[in-house]
Amino acid sequence: MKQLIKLAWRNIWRKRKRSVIAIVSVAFAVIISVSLRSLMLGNYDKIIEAGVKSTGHIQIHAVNYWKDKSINDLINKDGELPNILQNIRGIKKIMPRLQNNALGAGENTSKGVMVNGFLPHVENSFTKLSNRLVKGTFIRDTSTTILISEGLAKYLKISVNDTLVLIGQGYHANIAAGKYIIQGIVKLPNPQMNLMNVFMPLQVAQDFSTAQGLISAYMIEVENDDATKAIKSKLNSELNNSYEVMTWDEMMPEIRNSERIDTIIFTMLASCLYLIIGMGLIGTILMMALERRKEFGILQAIGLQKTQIQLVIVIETLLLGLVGIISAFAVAIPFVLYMNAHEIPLTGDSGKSFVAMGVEPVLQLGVKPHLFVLMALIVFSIMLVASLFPVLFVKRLKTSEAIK
Amino acid sequence: MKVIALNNVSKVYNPKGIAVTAVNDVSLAFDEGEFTAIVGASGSGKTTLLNMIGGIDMPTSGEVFVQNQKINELSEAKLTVFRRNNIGFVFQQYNLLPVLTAMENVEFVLEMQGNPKAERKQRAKELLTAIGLGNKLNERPGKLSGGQQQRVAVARALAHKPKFIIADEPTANLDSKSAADLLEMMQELNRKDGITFIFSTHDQRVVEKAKRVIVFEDGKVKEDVSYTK
Amino acid sequence: MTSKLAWKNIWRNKTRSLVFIIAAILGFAMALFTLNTMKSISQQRLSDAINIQTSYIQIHKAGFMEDREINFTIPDAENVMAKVKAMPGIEIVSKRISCNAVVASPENNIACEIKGVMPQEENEISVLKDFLVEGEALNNNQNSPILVSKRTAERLKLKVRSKVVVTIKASNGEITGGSFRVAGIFVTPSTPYDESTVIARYNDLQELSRIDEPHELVIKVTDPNKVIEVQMAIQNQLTNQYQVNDWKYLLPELFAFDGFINMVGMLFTIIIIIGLGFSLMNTMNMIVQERTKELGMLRAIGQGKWSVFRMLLKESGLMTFIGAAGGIVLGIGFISVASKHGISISEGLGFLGIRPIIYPTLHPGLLIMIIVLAIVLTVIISTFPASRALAIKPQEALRD
Repeated sequence: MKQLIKLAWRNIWRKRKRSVIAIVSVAFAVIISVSLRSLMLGNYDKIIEAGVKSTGHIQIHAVNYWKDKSINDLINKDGELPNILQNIRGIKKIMPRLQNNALGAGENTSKGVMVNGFLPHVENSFTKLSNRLVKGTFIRDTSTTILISEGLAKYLKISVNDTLVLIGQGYHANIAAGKYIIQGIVKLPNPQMNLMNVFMPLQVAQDFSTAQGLISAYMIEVENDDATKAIKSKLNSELNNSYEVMTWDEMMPEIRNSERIDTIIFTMLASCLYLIIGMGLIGTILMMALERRKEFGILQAIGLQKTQIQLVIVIETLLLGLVGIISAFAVAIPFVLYMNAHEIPLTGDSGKSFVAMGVEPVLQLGVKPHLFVLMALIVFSIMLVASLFPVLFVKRLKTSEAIK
Repeated sequence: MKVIALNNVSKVYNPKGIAVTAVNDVSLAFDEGEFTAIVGASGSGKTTLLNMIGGIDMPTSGEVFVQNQKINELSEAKLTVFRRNNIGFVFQQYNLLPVLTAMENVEFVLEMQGNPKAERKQRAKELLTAIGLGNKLNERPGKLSGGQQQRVAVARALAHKPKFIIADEPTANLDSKSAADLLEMMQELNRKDGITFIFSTHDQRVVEKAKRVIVFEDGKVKEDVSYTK
Repeated sequence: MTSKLAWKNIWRNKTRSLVFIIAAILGFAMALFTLNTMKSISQQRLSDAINIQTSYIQIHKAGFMEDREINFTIPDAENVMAKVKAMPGIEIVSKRISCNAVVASPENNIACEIKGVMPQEENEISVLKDFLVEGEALNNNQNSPILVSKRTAERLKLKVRSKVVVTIKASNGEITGGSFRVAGIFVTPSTPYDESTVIARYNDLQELSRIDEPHELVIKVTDPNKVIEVQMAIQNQLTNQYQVNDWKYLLPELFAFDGFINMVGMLFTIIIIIGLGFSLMNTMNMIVQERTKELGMLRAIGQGKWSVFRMLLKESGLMTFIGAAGGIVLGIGFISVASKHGISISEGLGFLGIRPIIYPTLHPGLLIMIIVLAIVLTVIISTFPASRALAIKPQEALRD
């Protein structure tokens, strides 16, 4: 076996140029697809992370709240719910929220905004909202002042210490209106969110919407991301379906949907690429065999079984693939790691289209080991298929004719 | 004792419907320790005959016995094992594996037979030294002259201690000096180790060294003369 | 002569040439199909947005686009409209009011943009009426009608003829409200538009907001290819206090996305052609190596070295050409099948304004791009092996 591997290895380097091209082509396909997919997945990691920070892993609402987000579909902040939640294992933190829509008005302009009532001291360690402060200071549970998002501040031409007027509809069709001093401005990563958010202490939000003791959601942080689904079903059974329990990807289906279309685009590109590279490899391996017709005959004459010759060919082909994969990884792994550590801001048209899709316009590659395994498997499968042709060729080869 | 016997052997090639009889009803026998030349013009059927003796080609009719074993009934895999254990081949074009060194080429079949590493290295070294290539052990064939390559080919054929060696025009590609050297080496192996050589040639100087000469013409034996020297 | 020789040479090693040609056919076909599908998605998005939302050209008071202040209205709008209408290439001009509002029902309230439109003209400018799923388009006989999206109707629990209260900040700075009745419910391919837009009659909204002039003039041109010329002509007629923009400015994200798709398409094509290039390079390398003797012979009988070089380039060019031509035919075949049956790309991409089923069409620009890239890359890639042939000397034919 050792001898066969040695023979195969040396055979690869017989036609140096050809093997180098084959190896480079494998490496090219692997590098391109790994980088591209790492980019996409890195992007989704960011989107998901930002998304989870805004919704929590799981939310509990009144039944059917999420679809319409009606200010009338609220739940009690105190009572049975927090007790039940505290007793479920895997839940790290529960955070009450009251959300409402309103028209926010500055001096001359107005804009529809989302009013978020929350408990700053509870939520901040999860959402890290205070890190996003670009001006002013953070609010406390007992403040009567508010935070607004940076884009909104620009739009309404207001800043710290200015007043924001909010008008909307409160609980059970009460009029909701109020004037609030802006204490700080936060920059949210999602550009659309950045244009429309107002944050205020829960009590202030409850006063605004005339919803004393009521909240629209309990936002839940779980200890372990992977347990999200399991905790959701646990919650559903504990709560007897009298509440709506939703995970982050159910609340933000657009994340999964756009991930799906990216996956389709990637799959099409990668299959095109591997198809073409694969055909090239099949051609190369086939030529390698056809040229050596006589040599195979001689090997048979001096006593090698056909199976042994076929084994040499398979080893040769797999070795070629292996070298390709190793060279690809030698480039791709440092590249992906580097690009993971150093994100690139996007400018120009592509930057704008990212913003339009609600994505922070930066490129950052994700580190996904499974991707490397997958690509290696694809290359090996292609190589196995490619070795099939010469293996069949040897099977049909007649010694007496081959050595002519 | 006859190691090889051919009884009424014929071989008909049938490419594109036109039957060509390469070997026509030939019966021959070979003893152990022979040094036999098969002589004939190209196309006379020499190569086909040798291939059938060596179990590379199958006769259309007739029987081939090697050491009382009827080899034209063996399966392909068994035939391969048979060749590996009993026959050494030397070809006109040397046909060494270009990617292996002289030493590795000789070792190769031994490894296929599963001989231990130390033993086969020892054997390869001995053989190559014996044929005067002790200083070229680690050269690849590309670096060797034609004569040297053919010697390595003979050493490869001898490596697994076959009963006999079949050589198809071994000197055809060599200059006269190399051809003479090669022949001398073959004679010595025949004399000292009793190895049977059956080789084809159309080189008169080679024919002169043979102990038995079989003249082949149109697929038939025209003459079969043994000399005692 | 060299072309004929090149053609014959291709078929000397059928297996090798066929493997390459099949790879090229599949590569080109898939590239063409994928690119056209992606481009069609992007174009469909754009045309939906233009036809429903912005039309081709809009006029605003300078500064309105940035600040959207309620008082940034277009001075002397009637006069401007008359002027524009008289220009060539204009199909229709209409005026709109646009302001932010909270729309409330007894059940819920949402923040969105309310547009006040002239019912008759708007129906010619926008195809929104084609996306009505209930009720009817605006007309002058209704009583304070409003169009809302199905999404909004669900959130506010509205039906046709339900009453809603619209609260806006009027031009005098007061917060005022007015009630409207749902006349129709629409569903467009774009979820963000649906979620953030309600439409009322110009006069009703004018009364509520107490402004005298519109915020925007919407212009539909007769020839979409001449938008830029028309836009320039209009701007030249007006002073600097009027800002004239085309759809590229009005829909920057969609225009940028289209550019992004073009970039992705180009990258996609380059990657595929480089992939093919490896096979081509290998094939050419083998050819030069195998034929060293023969090429030396050709040189010996008097063929110039550049002529040999050209012959080799022709050979690789011809192979790529066969592959590309076959691939293009196959790709167009895929596209025409898909354009009949439609491709169901995932549901739920409405948030990007993408329709769930897309009918791809062939975009000649992409075809040209693929062909040009194929030619350029083929020449570059096959130059390396072919240039080795330049070094072959006639005496090599004679060497053994």
